[in-house]
Amino acid sequence: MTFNLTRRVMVAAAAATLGFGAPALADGHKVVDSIHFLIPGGAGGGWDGTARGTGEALTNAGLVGSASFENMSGGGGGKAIGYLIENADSQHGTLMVNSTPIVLRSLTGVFPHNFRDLTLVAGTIGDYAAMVVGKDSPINSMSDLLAAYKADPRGTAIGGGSVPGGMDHLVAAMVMKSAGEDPTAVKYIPYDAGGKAMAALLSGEIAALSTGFSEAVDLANAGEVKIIGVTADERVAAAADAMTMKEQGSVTTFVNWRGFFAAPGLPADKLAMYQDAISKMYDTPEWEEVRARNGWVNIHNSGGDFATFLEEQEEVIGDLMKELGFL
Amino acid sequence: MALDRWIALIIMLICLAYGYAAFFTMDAGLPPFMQRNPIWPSTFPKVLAVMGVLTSLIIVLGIEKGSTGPKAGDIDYRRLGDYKIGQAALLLGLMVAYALLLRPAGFLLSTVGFLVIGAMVLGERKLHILVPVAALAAGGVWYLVQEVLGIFLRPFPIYLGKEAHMLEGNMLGHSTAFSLTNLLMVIGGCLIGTFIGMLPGLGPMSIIAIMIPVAISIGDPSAALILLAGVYYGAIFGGPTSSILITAPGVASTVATSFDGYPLARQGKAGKALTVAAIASFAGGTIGAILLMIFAPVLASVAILFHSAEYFALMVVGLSAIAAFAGSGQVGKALLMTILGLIMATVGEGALFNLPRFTMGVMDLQSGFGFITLAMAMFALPEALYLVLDPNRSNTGNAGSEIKDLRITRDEAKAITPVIGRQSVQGFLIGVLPGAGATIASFLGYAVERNIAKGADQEQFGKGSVKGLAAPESANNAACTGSFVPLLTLGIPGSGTTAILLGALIALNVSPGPRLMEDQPEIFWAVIISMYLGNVILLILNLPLIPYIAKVLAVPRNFLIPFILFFTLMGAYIGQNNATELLLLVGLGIAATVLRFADYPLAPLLIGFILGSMLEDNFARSMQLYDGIGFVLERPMTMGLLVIAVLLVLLPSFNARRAKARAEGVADGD
Repeated sequence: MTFNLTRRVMVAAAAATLGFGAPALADGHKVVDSIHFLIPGGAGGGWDGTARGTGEALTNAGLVGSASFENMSGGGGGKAIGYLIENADSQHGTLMVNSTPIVLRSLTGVFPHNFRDLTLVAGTIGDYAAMVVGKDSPINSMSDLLAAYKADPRGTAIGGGSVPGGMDHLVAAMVMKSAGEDPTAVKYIPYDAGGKAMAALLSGEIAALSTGFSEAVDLANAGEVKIIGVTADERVAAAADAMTMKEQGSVTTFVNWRGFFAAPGLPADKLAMYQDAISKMYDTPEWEEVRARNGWVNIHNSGGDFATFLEEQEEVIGDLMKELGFL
Repeated sequence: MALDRWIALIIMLICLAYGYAAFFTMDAGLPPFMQRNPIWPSTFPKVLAVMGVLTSLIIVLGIEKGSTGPKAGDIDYRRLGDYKIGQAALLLGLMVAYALLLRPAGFLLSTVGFLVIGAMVLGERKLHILVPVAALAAGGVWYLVQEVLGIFLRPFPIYLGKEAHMLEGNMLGHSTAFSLTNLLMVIGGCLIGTFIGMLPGLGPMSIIAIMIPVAISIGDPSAALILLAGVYYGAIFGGPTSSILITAPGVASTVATSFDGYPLARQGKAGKALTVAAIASFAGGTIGAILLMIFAPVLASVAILFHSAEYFALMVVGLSAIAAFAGSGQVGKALLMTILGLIMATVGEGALFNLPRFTMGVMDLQSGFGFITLAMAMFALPEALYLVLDPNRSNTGNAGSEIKDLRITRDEAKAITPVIGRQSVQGFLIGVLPGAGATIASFLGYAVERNIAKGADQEQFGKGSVKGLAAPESANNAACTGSFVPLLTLGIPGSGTTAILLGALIALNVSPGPRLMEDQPEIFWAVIISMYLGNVILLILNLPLIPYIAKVLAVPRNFLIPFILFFTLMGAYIGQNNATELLLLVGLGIAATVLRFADYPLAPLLIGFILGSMLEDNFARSMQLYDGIGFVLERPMTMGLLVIAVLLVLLPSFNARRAKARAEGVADGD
């Protein structure tokens, strides 16, 4: 995955904390002695921020005695997955952070493994996707965008901060498909980072931008862009004016999740311990501080729910990618 | 057949294999809807393969008259037997062993072993000095990286268990928990930034990412921003040091600095080179800050007029910098190296397609060649190997009397003043563009100054010209300041570093954007003031340090060489923990050394590599948006930039011809 140096991701990077590994407060509710976080990318990326932020909250809240963090880049994340599987027996103390791309990359075969080869611990946070236009654009809703597209399909380019076949493109294709258009006919322009895609939107090079909701919300509140559709089930408090896709008659919902995985064959008692620590984390002020600092949305799926969620996402994305011709 | 022609033949074979992959293996799997795009993932590679084969043919057939004989002081591969090949091979083997042992044996043990054995291979026998020095260095680096920065580096062998890395680093967190005045913030930030910036592998982006929690814990947005800005400038100020002293550029924006900075250092003028860099940086930063203060709102609206088409044209202008390395008899070689760099840029995942290209099944190539790995392999490693091979090597360092001399002559001052002025403005403007940034600014600055310089002045570029050093340094500093324009006025991060800063701003409850200057003017001014202060403080901090930093080169060779090798390895390893990258580094370094034997210039390869993906992406986007090449004619700004690129390449030869004509005219007149 190309790390989108997008604003929220980078805020996550901001959470690349120095550990803040304050000694356990030992106030009686410690659930796990220590967790070693394995980060499949380099220091400073989005995964890095998620792992370090979570570790910081867990240790500061006293749920975990100590946390350590190990970056292991290579193969776009595949190297760390392989490492965890090959050394499964000695990695019972390790949690690996990952996100939506593990589903995408397993489908395209970039990774030889998929999420079923790992022990699913929990999905912890996420971000919705959003369709955005510039403030001076005549487009004000998804139906305006569709009308503009029908009038001039080649002149209505939709940009995004991911490769064709990546998240931003898939969301754009989902929206078009749900509106009865041919998703393969959409002119999708890929940019290598969310910030650059946003600049392209403001320059008028593209008509609309498919991007992460959290990345768009600050610019929308500043009046620079208009959010014309969010892929959440219900309106999101951070931008209460922004309509969901569902409200506008589309079936499109999408969550870009982040969560934690453990080595295959992890004993059930250990797994339950990790899941317990993460569940308890949500109620602590320490987590709330980390979450707010990074602008994350709590989307908690533990164990079996996580598996169901991932299987559903894999199926939806897999079907769409087949239709687009990627598989 | 001479070595350079054999090498061209090998490169031709590589291009043929690459071309085969591009022409016959890539298009079948392309989804039908992408086949409607004018540019396919295979298009650029196909063009490169054809160009590569043709260019290497020119060299293989000896069409271009090569430069005559090896230069004095350079290594002549025909006399390879005289050189210390055994030592070089042993050191390379040691690097491979280090890469393989780094994970299982832990950082401390491997590093001490590497430094001690490396020096012993070179003939050092003073173990009572060597061992403590190596232990101190290994411990120091480990402490800095793991304990201070909190980046995992396994210190002890795996079997010693996990206790070792349960140590948690939060020294900085504690030391800055108490409130400090803003001035102390700047000084602290500058110092931290400078020192970490001197380490390769940690550019401004990672340093800032690491410092952000500290800054946020301060609470006051102005003070936090001032600290971060200080770290940022410090990192930029410290960056060129390794480029100049040992030609190991840690970040892409200091690559151009090494083109003339390193030759100056080799001539024993390290002190002067560092001073010129410091002054150019200072001027670039300060002029940038003034421009930012006055023009920020206006420039922001101009910056977003730039479309992908213009960015493509800008990359073409940037590529014209390679002309500086195409001396007589070198045009074909410089071109071939550029093409090779562009080819390497296509390896791995790009913005155009969701599958990696040309990874040959190697998982570590999936994200492409790492910039630092390539920069170290192309520049620092061959330099270090040259030092090893030198049969006349003595153990004493390069300690001429001039090395610590900071003075710049009046003529030099006169020469660099206009360069700094021009490049500060040009660099700033390029920095304002969200898709360009400091790296592009430094190459453009170098290219423009080299190509408008006249006669002997131009000849000096690449051989130790103070102008060639001042141009990229003032440009990249001004560009860093310029990148604050879209960040503060639009809320758009144009670079990785400003993206992280944006994250920090949001975390501090500051929303950058058009309303920032009205709603929270104190934030805007805090940044501007910290820029002035930061630059002044950096100059004051750095000038007195220069003699000591320059003295690094006076360290005995037996110590210096293993340390340089260690430095290159660390750059590729810190924060990644991927040992395969180190093996790649050694392999590429050997290839680069052979290329240097045959007089191939390596800078064009790195320039091609850095600009390659931006060139391809922006071109592909423009072609897709305009459904063809029409954008060149439809967009006057694109056309204008392309014309400038052509002029920049042609200008030098035109100047030379005119000078020659004039000289002949004078002769006739006599």
